[in-house]
Amino acid sequence: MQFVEVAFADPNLVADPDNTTVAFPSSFDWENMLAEFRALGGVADNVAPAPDRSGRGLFPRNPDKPFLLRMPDNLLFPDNDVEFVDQQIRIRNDASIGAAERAFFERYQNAFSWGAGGRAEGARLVEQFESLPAELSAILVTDFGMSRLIDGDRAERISRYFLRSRTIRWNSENVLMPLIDLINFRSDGMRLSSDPEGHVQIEGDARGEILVAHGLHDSLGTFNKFGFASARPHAYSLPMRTKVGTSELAIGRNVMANARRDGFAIPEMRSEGTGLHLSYLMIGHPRSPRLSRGIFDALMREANTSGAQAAFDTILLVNRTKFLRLLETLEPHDGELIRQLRMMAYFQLEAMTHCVGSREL
Amino acid sequence: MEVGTTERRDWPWDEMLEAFRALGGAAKNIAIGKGEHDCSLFAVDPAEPVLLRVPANLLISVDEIAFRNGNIQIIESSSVPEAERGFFERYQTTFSWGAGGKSGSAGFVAGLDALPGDIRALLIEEFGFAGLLQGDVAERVQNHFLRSTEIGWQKGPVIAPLLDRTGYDPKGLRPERGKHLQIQGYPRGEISVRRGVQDPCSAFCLYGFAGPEVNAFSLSVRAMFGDRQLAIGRRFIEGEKRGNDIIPRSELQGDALNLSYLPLGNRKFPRQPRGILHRLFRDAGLNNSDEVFDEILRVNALRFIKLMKALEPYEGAMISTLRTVARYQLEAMFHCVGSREIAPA
Repeated sequence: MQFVEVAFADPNLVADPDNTTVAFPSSFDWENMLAEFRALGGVADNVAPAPDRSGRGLFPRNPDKPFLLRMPDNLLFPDNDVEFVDQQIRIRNDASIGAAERAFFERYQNAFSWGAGGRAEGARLVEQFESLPAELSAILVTDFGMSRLIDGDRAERISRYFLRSRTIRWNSENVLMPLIDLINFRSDGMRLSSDPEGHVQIEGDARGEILVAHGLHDSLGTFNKFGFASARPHAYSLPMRTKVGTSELAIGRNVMANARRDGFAIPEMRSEGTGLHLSYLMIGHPRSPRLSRGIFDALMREANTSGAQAAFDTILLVNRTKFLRLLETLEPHDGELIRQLRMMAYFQLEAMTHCVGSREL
Repeated sequence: MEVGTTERRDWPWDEMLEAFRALGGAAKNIAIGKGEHDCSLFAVDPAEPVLLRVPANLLISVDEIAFRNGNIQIIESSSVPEAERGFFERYQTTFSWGAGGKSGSAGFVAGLDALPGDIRALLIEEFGFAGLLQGDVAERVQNHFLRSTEIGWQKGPVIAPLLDRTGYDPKGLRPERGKHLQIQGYPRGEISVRRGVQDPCSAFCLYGFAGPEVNAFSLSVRAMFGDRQLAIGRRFIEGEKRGNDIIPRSELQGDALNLSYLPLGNRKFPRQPRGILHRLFRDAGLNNSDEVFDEILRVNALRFIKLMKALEPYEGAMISTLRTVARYQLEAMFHCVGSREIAPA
């Protein structure tokens, strides 16, 4: 079986069999890839690629019928098992992944993902970051955790961005999921689920493009993962340290480290020296505007600290001030990335405003 | 800055000062020059203090001023004596309204009129800009000129000759109100005056620039809380003293609580704004002020963020200024941390 290198996976463009350097796929290529995917245990019903602005995008072949994509565990590729050599993506030699899956992964990535616009997308974004003024880059690194896009070797930044934007958290691991990694993200997209055997899948009816939800990220998190501004309803605090009464409080941004209480996700809290550490802190949500402060109040009560109200106000002030400072720094500049950063800041500030009163947990 | 401009005028500066002094005014170490206005005031010798005293007979109530044929006049029914009337009208034509005052306000109004339609509509509907954006252009220019040059006096705002050519600066010289209205001290460059408390939004409406004010006050809003109504205005001069604090005037009418204004944030005293609403609610026998405060803050913040987002597709000096105004307003507004006690009535 031979795959030709593709730029966009457009089934309407047919490869010329006499020209082995053609940059467009034929439906034969897509079908061959699907056949191999199915042979390795995957299920792909009624799905077809289509070009879009980012080179990604998956559509139902027949919009009147439901689609289904199901991944067997052997086709989930942990990001730690992936490496980039000479601008090619591949599975590490020491990874415990079968030869057939390894071969499928590399052919698939070259034809439909990394080699078909994924690398170019990352290079474009990294280039935009490189053109930012130094003062702005410094703020993005220091206050907004964007060093991965700004600092270090260029090729590494591109490959790191690609992995970050394509991996999905599943069973406590960041994994690349062939085909699913072609699906674009949107706030109101579908959610991944699992079948009775626990295989990850996405299914349903889609009249147009199949879209998947962002997950837990807020607007800043979405920007850091995908490189574009997207309105998210909720906001989490930036990592910071402050005081609650006489105690030191450190706040992280690990939203995966959470526990459930009264049906709500709350951050993990642990003692850290003489202070407290919260894995993350929600600071605004339009559907539950009392929840953010309610969670904080409850946790601080459990920690026997006083001054929760003023501390929460201070956390809000610090967060809001940093995003306003970012807007101030962006003001004299223009360009696509500048506009995206500005919109991201508006979305984050907007989400932060949805913090009204408090509630018992 | 061009101090002591040699521009020829029908009424030379020194002659005008003589007439001013003859009517009871005092002006020491003060020169005219080009600054914020075409005719701005500067210290002749910056190492020496300035003094500008405007006597009560030269403080002309805004209510007694009219515009006829493009000129500023004192209305005929006014009791202002002939000499003062003559001085005021000649001064205005030569050094104020007729010397950059009119063109400055006209430029500001034209800048707002040139904004995209969706921005103008938003400013009118959600930010109270109707007076600047709707109606006869000449009237809007005249009103803006009066609003931007007036200063508070005993029974209401007045236009004070010479003082009306000072700039606006929250850290400028403080007006002293006694038998006369005066300023004195050491200005840093152009003479600027504190003209009452403003927030970034109101300062923009009056003076046309974006400045990082200490305070942010709520926009005019009406809100229901429970079965009661809360109506908030933006009349910042209507306040009353409680201990060391100035708080809005409040009036409970049936089920409605009317506030002359409401502070939302204060860069210097971040515990004060929430404390004020707590006090007003307690005085009115109402509760749940914490949540009401948060809700008002949310409504205000969302409006300014909406404005910033609406401005995003556009470019230009006025667009950039408005974006900065919105940012400054949010910055000041977000300075509300905790709460503190405000003295009861």
